[in-house]
Amino acid sequence: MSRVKGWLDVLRSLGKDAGSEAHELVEAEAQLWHAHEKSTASATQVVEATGGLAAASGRQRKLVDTLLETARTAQARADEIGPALVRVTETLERLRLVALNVGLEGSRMGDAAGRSLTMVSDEVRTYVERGVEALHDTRALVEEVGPTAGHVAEHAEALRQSEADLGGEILRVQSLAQETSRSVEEIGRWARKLSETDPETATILARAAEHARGLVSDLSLLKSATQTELARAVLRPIIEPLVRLLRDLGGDAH
Amino acid sequence: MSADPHSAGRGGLVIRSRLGVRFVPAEIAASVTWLAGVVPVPGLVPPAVGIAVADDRVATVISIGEEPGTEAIVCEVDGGWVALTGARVLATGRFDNASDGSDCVQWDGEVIESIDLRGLMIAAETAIWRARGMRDEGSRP
Repeated sequence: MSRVKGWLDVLRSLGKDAGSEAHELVEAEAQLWHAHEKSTASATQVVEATGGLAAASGRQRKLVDTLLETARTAQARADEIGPALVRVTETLERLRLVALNVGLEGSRMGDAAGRSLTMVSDEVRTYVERGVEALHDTRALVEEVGPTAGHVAEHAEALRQSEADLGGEILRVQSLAQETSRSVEEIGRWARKLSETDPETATILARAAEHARGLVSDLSLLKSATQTELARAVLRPIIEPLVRLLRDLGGDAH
Repeated sequence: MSADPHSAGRGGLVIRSRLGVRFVPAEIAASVTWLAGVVPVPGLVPPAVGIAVADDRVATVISIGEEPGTEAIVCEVDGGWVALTGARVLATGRFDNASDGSDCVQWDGEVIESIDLRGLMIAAETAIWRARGMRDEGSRP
């Protein structure tokens, strides 16, 4: 019974220590190192992300260049199609004149052969006129394609300029992210110099203090002799090595 | 749009121009051709606009309309050649004579007058002489 009381005293004293100034310092250092670790990880991720952004921007720039080239080619082709259609129209007009002359000859002849010529002439002229109308519509469409391709080229040019600006901004962000990463490392070095404990020890101590505080808090709830006796039976295999360990560490030997 | 091929009628062209729709008989219409270029002649005034080579013949070019295209109807008038420009050929073939016994033909349900080429030539010459007279009048002291 007295042994159990001794453990409880030890643990209570640990609880008191946990609230002491030293404990608060260890806790603060643990928090500092935890924050530093997170900052380092975040800064590394930002550097990686900006690298990815720069790569994506480069790919986008290539696509915009391709788009610009395609639009310019389309514009040039549309400019070439117009004169070609004019030549086809002129050819059809000449064919129409041939048909007219055939019809005129047919009308002059007046016999069965003349009638046949007139009929052929009419047929040819009908098809030629349809062809000329279709070409006229096609020319109107092609004339729209040229300026449209020109607008696409203008927009692609503007997009390329915007992409170049974006690329510059990404480089700036990348540089700032690398600077941040270096600064966080610098903070870590200075913190190591100023701190009495290294990051690993601070973390271990904070974790141990947290466990100890929990243990003390739970044991403080034991009121009756029966509860104390039960606690002794359950906790003995754990508490005895703990007390020995604390003694070995040079703690207060209760 | 062509005339009835079985009709005896009159052969020729139906054209549209500033003068309206007119019939050009096959006896005076030699061909329909493409004019490469019209050479302006000093002293000519509209409707005469110059001369041109049409089907290896030198023809006086008379403008009778503003229809698009550069086709010209080459006609023979009193042994000379005239190229009519600015007209559009609407039909070729043989057309029924008008029932009133006039020089007209029927086309597309309408009575179509024959073109008065001699009248056109006289109008062109009159315009030339009038212009020349005015010029001489202006240069007289």
